[in-house]
Amino acid sequence: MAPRSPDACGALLAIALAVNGAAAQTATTRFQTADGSHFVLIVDASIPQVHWAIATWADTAEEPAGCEGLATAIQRVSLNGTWRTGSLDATRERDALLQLDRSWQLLLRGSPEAPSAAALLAQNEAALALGDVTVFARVLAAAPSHRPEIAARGPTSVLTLTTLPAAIANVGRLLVERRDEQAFRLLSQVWLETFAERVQRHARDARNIVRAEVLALTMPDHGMARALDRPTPGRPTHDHVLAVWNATQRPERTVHVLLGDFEATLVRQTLEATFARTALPPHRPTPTPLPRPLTGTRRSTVVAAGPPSVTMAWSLPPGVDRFALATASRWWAEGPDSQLGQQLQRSGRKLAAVTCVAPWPPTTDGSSLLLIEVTDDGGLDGLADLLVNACRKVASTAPTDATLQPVTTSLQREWRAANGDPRALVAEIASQALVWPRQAITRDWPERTDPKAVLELLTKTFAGHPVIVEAKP
Amino acid sequence: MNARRASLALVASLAAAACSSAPPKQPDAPPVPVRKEAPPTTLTPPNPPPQRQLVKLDNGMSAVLTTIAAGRQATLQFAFLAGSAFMAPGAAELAAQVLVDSSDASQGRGSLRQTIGRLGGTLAVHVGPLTTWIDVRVPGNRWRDAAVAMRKALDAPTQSRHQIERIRSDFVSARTAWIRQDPTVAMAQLLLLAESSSASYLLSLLDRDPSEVSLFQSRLFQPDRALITIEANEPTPDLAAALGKTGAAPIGGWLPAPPIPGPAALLDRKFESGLYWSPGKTAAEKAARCRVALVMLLPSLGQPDAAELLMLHACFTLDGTGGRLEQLQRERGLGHVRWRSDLAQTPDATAILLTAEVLPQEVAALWQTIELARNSLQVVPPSDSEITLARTRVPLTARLPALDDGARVRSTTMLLLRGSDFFAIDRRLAEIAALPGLDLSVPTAAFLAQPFALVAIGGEPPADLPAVRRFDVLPPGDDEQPKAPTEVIATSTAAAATPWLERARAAIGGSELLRRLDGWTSEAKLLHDEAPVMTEATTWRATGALQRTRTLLGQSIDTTLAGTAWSERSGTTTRSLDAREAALLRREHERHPLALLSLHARGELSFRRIAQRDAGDRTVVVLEAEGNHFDRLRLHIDTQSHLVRVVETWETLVDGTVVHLRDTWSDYRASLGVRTPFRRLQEIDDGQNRVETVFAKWAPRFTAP
Repeated sequence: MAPRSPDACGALLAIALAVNGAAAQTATTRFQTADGSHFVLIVDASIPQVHWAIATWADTAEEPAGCEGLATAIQRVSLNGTWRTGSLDATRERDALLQLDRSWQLLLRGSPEAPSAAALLAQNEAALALGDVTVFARVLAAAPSHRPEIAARGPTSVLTLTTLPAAIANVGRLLVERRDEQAFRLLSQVWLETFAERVQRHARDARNIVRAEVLALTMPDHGMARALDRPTPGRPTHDHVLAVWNATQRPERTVHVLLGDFEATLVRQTLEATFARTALPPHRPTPTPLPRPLTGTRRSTVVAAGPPSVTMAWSLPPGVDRFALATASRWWAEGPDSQLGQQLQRSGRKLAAVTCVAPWPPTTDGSSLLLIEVTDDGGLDGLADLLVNACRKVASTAPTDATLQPVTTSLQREWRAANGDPRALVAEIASQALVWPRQAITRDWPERTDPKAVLELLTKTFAGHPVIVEAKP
Repeated sequence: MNARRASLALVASLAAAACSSAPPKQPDAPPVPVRKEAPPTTLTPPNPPPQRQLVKLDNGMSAVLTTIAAGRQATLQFAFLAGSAFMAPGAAELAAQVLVDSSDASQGRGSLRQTIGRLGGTLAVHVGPLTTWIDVRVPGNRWRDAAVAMRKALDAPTQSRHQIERIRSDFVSARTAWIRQDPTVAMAQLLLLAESSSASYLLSLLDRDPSEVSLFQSRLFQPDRALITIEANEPTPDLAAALGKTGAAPIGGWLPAPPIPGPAALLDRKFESGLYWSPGKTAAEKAARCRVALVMLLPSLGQPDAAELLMLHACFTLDGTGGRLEQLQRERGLGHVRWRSDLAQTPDATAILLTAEVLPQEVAALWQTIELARNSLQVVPPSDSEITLARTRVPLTARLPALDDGARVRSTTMLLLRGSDFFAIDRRLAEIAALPGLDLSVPTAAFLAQPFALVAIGGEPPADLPAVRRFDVLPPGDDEQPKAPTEVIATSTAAAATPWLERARAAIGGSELLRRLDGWTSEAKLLHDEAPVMTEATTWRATGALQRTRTLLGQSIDTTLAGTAWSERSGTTTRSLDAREAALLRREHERHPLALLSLHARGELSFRRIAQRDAGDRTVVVLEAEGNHFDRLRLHIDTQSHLVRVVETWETLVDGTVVHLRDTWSDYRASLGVRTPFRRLQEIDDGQNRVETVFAKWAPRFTAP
């Protein structure tokens, strides 16, 4: 188990801070404020605004069973205001929301004390009447800021907005208020929307059963295993909401990135004054499970909809480089032009399609699995052995600069299309800084990936034993 | 530079051509949040601005060059004073698409978009009423390669009608999908191009003949109407030197043929203010919630009164929250309408775009509320607290047109050409703050004259609502892809194709025999104007097996496709073919007329009828293959002889170049029970490359009955 504790996170980010000495020359500054928040300041005199992104974890790690998706849902409502901004009477509103929560729990438990539907509706209306979800947005716009929005990026959730250097203090105060005095207005409504989306997503993706089986064999305690199951209706309690918010929003588990034309020293002073303390209680994060070491190949067969498939999962070695991993995954097993894709074609498997995901499930610094998924409508006979043998012989098809070049350019192109603009870029940097705290901040995809590093990574990975799950209709 | 100034002047004139608003009605003075103190306005850049230089290239083009820090992507932009307001509706967009998507197989040149993709970069085309910009972003060290690719694309714009038609077809498909995805946002964007309907926009693209596209390029894609901007991590003198006509990226050496004589007329179109409404077509659509989009043009930063106009804009609304708009929405029972803020942009103008969902019956009230809130600024001038708040907000709103990288470079370039920068607005705000009194009456009149519109999709406009501009989202029959008007669409059903295929099979030798066709053996000569004669001996099987020997000047090349072994041998050298090369070779044989008719006879390939065409003294019926195996493969069957005369298709070559292939088959002779063509003329990309194949032997092979 790799504890993702505040101390561990702080230590990892401190390593990254050490990199900052060199980065300072390129006008990138990293520091931690007194409340524990991590900041990355990137000065770029050509950008006339300040783009600000705040990344926090939004995966299943901190969600209690039955509350999968809660971390995302509470993020979505977090711009609806605080007890200070947007409440007509904070005490009464808080009481009304608590009463509503108790009533819902009684109703879900089937308690005879549960209120009638009409009474519940009336309680909901009463709570809504005590808050105004437009005020916080208005105050933020007047700060001024433009288009604050929250979007999921891998296992993280990122709040992005655009502002001006002169408004950083104002916006910072509002962000602290949002974090420390969150009212969670409209959570019931958004929770139901999130639940409906999860049900639809689950129904669409036939791979869930297979992936759940992979987790059962490698990381049975991983929270994602629950998230891969068909969502069950439920409603988080107020205590659940507070616990998940606290766990995901603790400042030491948060990375802010500011990009634009500002005076870095002054901005740092402003941020250090603004992010000096937090009202959130201390929290010890739930340790993230690591892949279970395997002493031999493990196989399983499941019945699943969709085309017949073989899924293999290999533990990644520690300390992987994210760019080398992305290059290795694509070069080796992503699509028909990959090494594995070509080998499948040559072996006569014309209907086979191969994809590769790594790290999966996403977690800190890639301490996870490399997942290869192959579907073949022509049948699965001998497919798993063919794949394992090919992976074991990876060294015989060593990559070169020439063979990696198309892979690198395709990754560069996709990265540029997704993150080419400053708002997207700042969100990506914040998310990556949280997920890959040991790695340096970069504003562009590297021009070259060392073929030796790619081969070494794959050789180490395939030196272990895989988990193999076959799915048949 | 003069062209840019002209462009700005034209943008300003377009923007000034605004709507007239309804008579103002006196609202109650709305309470506005009061700030105790405004953050200090920054009057100068906090950091030294990047090194920037404006130079004139050898061919008269202007270049704006900027040195940026290492580790960043390079950005190149090519701009032409050639927007949608020139010559004919849709011509500018098609001309730009053709420039970036056309290729030249005879020269081995892929399209500009493909080349940029291979460099790890992205390319985007932005067309405004007056200017067209091509944004290219590549890894920092690849900007020269990108500039060279652009030069090649400029040097040889395609004249191929087929290629232009194909690009138009793909572009219309993409734009149709874009409109379908969010018709409100698409329509808002199209209003900035002075369109009045998304349906008419698509039809105008379809109306353009390829010759109009070529004419547009000839007249308007000229160096004296063009500008290049580069942001890269190199000193500006080095950038300038590379762009010189003898440099490594010789954009300055681009000298196209003189423009075809004639005017580049400016169309009389402008963004008209108003309520644009596309009603629901079914009862369910009429009752469902409506998507609405409020489009409010922002002033150009070059306007003398830009600061005042932006202040009034902030008094009206802050990103759809606060201001007069929210106040009046609350008062009129529309406080629940929550706007989502975004931008609609062309290279020549930026508009704030607010979108929301409302009940159908709320649309009219919302429109009236918006008009009332705007007019209230004249009836009740902004209070001191509103002005204080606005002054805080304006510096940010002024910088919104530069939100993404491409727009930022464009905005910075335009300001540079005017000798200005973003801080000019801040300085003007400081001057305003120092004034003893602020009279906004004149700017308010100008603000109310700025174009604005509300777009609504769904519901039904009330009969008593005046001046609604109804529009269609897509052309009639929008369930189907719009077809080029050059083709007479007789019917598109497979049933309509079947009789012609049966007749074609009968003319060849009958369905039964074709059903059993298993391949052939052939010997032929290949003739090309610029190459020695090549001989070819081929054995092909319907299973995909191929053995081919080509001999040129005494040298033989043996190609073998056998199962999964794909190779090519020349002398003692053997190289493996990849899956793409093997598929290319197979498709070449699979599109032989007899092979296609055989596939149809076996039920493995179906066709739909496209058109009946008169081609000189012949009439042909055109059928298109269904499914994904071929890319738009079409058969031309002679309606008299029922022989297949032409097979045309699109093919993606190994290097990614997409080419149009047209095989004209003739000299049908009998061979072992079937009639088969002994001559093929293959034309690539409208005859830019021609290969004639004359068969000396063509012997079919059949499976047992």
